Amino acid sequence: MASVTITDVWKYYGKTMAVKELNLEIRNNEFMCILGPSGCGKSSTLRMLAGLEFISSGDIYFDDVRVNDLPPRDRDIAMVFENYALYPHKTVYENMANPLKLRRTPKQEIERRVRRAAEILEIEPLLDRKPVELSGGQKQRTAIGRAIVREPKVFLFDEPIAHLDAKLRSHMRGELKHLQRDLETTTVYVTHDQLEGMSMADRIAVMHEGVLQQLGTPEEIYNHPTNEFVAGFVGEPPMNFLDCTLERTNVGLTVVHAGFRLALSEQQASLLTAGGAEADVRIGIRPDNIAIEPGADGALEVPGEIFVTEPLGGDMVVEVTIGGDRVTVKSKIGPMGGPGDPCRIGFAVDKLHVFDKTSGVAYF
Amino acid sequence: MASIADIGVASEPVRGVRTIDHHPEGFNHRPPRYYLLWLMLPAILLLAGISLYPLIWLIYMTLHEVQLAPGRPDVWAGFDNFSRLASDKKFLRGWLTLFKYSALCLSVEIGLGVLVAVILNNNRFEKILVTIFLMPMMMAPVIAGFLYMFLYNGTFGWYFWLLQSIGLLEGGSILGNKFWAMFAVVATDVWQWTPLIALITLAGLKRVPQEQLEAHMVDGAGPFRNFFSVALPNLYPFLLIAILLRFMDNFRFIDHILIMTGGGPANATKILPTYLFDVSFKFFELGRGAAIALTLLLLTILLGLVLTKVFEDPTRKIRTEREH
Repeated sequence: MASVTITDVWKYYGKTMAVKELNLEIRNNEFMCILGPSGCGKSSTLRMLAGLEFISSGDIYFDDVRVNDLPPRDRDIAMVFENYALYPHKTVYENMANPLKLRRTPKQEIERRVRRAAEILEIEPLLDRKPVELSGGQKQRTAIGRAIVREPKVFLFDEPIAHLDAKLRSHMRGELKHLQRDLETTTVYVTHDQLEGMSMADRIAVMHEGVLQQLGTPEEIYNHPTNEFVAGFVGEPPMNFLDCTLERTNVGLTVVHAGFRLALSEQQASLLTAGGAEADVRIGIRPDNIAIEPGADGALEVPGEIFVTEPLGGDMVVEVTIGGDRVTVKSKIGPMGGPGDPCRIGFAVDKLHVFDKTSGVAYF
Repeated sequence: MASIADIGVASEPVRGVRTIDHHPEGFNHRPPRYYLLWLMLPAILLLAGISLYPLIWLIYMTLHEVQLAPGRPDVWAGFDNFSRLASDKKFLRGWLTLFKYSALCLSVEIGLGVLVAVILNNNRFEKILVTIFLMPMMMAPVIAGFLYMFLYNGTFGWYFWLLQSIGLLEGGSILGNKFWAMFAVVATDVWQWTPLIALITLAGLKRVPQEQLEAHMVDGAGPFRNFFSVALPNLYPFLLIAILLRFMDNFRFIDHILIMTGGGPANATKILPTYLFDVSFKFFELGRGAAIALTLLLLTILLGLVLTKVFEDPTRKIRTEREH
């Protein structure tokens, strides 16, 4: 149990910058998720926390202790690796007992703790097996077991469930979250899967190209992305982006696109004015915030043409062509027609995001 | 509700799942075996020509008193050639000397080879150093023997001078000393063949999963623990190859011993293969020589099998056990 403070940390490999000027504070007992595409510096950050990678510049503190120069074994951490990293010549029991054995824990105590961890993870029947005899999910449980037998200051997870099949992955998300709340241990969880971040974390740090893009609760990240990257990375199906122009009319500001015109609210207009927005902007809107109805003469304001429909059982994703651009719409399943058929869509203007066209920074 | 430990494993049947319990007639018919025989025949014939034929001749020779003069028929000797070996003191001593020699060579070469590999691994100058290290191996063993003979020479040998200067050696000569001669021939073998072990181990080190090493470090291990508990077990299959190769070479390569000591002084370096050489090609007792050669061959095979068992990759063992 500890807080983790990362101040002005840089990491470079040769001439490649992996992490740039990272400042991040992870609170005591918090579940922090570092989210980003591959190569964004999230794993480097985690490995610097673990002590597996030198810190090129900057400091990392666990509570008030600077850990820059401490080797992994003196940092009191536990880590779960992407490929589980189990020792193939040891049984599940020996794998889990390893961190305790290396710290000279008495034999009975090791036995007690390993049994307890195996009980929590429901792998007691597997304790005598070797890793080659385990399925992916069981290996992953063993790897987690090896991490939780001790009571480390910090848990580090490096994409621990990325290699499991989809069904097991969704199951493990819940398990891991429950486990973390149960054990009350500060946790840093690295993933490229936004769904994992959204569903498990207390707070998410979104990284891209080595730079921290946004730090916030899942709700903040989803509803108030600070830039186009975060907006596009989080959410499934991803947010729609359309190039538009702003037009000042007698009622306020209007977003103009080849296929539609949207009048912005007074509050939105003032945010744009305060931000010094130029006439050319990019708007973003999530597929959930667009309504759709089939046929050419519905009540919704924007006419469009269906490009393709993707039924998902209960919901459906429809791609619609409007004014030369394509937008993705998510709605309840229903009769919609096929490619080329007309439809009408309507935007929830209050859920609209507007970004600077060149820098990608969000006005709101 | 199934226990979560079962997820991802086919265990108990799930209710309501459609199953099929019968299978079609003529399930999994394999192609007939003789078809495979035809495919392998050319290789078998070639192998028979170059190794089985001499082996059969060897066995023939062990059962005869082989006559060298042309036209004189070999005399049937039964198992005399073998039974005489039991009382042949030089034969028994040859075995002992061979084991001593091989054990010394192997332990020093493995120890040094692994050490060198660890130092070379991920070293900045790895490539150039590996090239330099491999040079002794490229030399013909006879040349290595000559080289060391001169280095040990009592008049102008550099090693001789060195050992004498630091007070380890009092006069005399290295190769003429019953105690030193063994170490001298071992040193030659070590010098020439440690690079091979280092090379094989280095290849093994590259295959040690980085994540396991890192996990072990996080678990609380220092560099030494890390090497012995993670890297070394992963190296077993590679060490097995290295040890097997070297141990069989020890039974075969006697070039440098013949050059340097010829088995002396007072048989101190007369390992069994050198004795075999003497019997067959100095005394020309080809029948007895063949008997020695055959026992040597059988024991090499036997020891090879034992070594393979001892060093078997533990994970592979489980896998094969599961398959059967």
